[in-house]
Amino acid sequence: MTAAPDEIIRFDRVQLRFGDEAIFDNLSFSVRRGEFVCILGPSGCGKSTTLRLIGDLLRTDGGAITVEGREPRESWQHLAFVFQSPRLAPWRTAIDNVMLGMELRGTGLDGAQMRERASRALALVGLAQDSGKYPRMLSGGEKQRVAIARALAVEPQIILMDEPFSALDPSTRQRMRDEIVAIWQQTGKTIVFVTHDVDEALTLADRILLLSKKPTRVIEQIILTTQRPRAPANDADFARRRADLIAMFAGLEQPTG
Amino acid sequence: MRSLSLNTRRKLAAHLFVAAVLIIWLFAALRLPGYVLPAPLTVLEQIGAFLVSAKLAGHIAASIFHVTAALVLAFVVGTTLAVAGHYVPITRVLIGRLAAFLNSFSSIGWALLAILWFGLNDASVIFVIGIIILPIYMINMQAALDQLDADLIEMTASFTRSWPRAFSLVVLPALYPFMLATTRLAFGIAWKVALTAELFGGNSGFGFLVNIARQDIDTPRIFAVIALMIMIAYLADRFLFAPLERYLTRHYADA
Repeated sequence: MTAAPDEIIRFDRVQLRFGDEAIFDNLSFSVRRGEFVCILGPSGCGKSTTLRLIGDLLRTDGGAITVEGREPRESWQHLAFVFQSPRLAPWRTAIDNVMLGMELRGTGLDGAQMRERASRALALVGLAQDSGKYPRMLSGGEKQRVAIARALAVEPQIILMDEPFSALDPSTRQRMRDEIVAIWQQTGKTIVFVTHDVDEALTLADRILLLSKKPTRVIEQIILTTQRPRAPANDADFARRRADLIAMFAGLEQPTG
Repeated sequence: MRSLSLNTRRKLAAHLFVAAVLIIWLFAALRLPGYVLPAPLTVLEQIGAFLVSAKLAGHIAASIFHVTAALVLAFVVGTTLAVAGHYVPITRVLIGRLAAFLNSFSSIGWALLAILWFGLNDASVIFVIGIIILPIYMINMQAALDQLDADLIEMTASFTRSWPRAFSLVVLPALYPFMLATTRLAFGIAWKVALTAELFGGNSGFGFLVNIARQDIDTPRIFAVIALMIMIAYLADRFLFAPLERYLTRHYADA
């Protein structure tokens, strides 16, 4: 298998075991530069683990992962994470939390430049007015926006998002989905977005990778070409894909034995 | 009579209890010889004399110095050892055993050794207090490191591979509330150990005063020293440690 020129992430027959349990058995897929990929799968199938492997927070037991043409441990500075919970430092204000990501990474910028870049990132997520607030003064959605700004501010090539909206209420979740699409369209970043929500994947992705239960492999790739913003209600193609996916997903979620 | 709030009634009960103790003390002192139980007023006069006498005030300052120096030393050494145990796995068992050993030996034993090693001076006293509170820092700071928010640590790891940056920007600030809580606990113990350490190995401080007063059978002075020690410990806890802990917990631990 030769790498496509615009390929940014590649899993080639990746193996991973936790103790006696095989998590991944020859997991292979790739992501193109600038693509919005959703990884969809049943709970516990190792979706978040996929992101951890890309981000070098975990090592494989076999096979190869390449990120930006190199091994993950050489390319971690090209990516940034947004986790399921915001994971903000409670002692830092919103803008200082955005700067924390840059300070940790060591961007070589001076304080004023970092602050400037952090304000721009906060403005991009709609929090320009709240930069001086501490996390405890922000709502769940606002905290997650700060976490997104923190990821954007290190100017990564790839943003890895691990069910970032799952803890939010439905209306905030919907708004955040629209916003992340807008940010993706403005910045041209590659986004790998893990979710177990079929509608979320259908609303956001260029391509959905549907994962099986453990030992995990890609059982289906769904390419979506519908214009965004996508309106599930009056789109026949969307409705059909949704029905297919939900049927497949229901099969996966069924308990074994 | 209007009913009082629960809080007022609780405070009233505490005040009444203190008043009752004072009255019992007053009557008991009338019946007992002064060297067994001095009258409250005599003790109060002695406290006043302490506070206005430069020499005696010097002893108060000496005790505060001993405790503060020991806290600083134990904090630095104990926290460093705990950090080493956390990040350098092979040292963990060793450091755990050291803490267990230190935790099992008494202050009097250390005081006697300190006199032999350092003589009767400030160094002896600071050593004894420091070595008693050192395991408190080692054990508590290790527990604090173990309990750090794993999510926050993973977030940090996702942004950097630099240990110094991760430690100084995230781990250390996240430890502040634990450091203060441990210092608050250690201060109370240090203050009590200070009396023993100064009594055996010191040439200044409250313990030294108690030793002299004991030789002179000056019971009012012993009572005055005890009262002053309790007052200082109370004031430090109420007006220094408690507000600081509230601030740090609110600022560094509430997400």
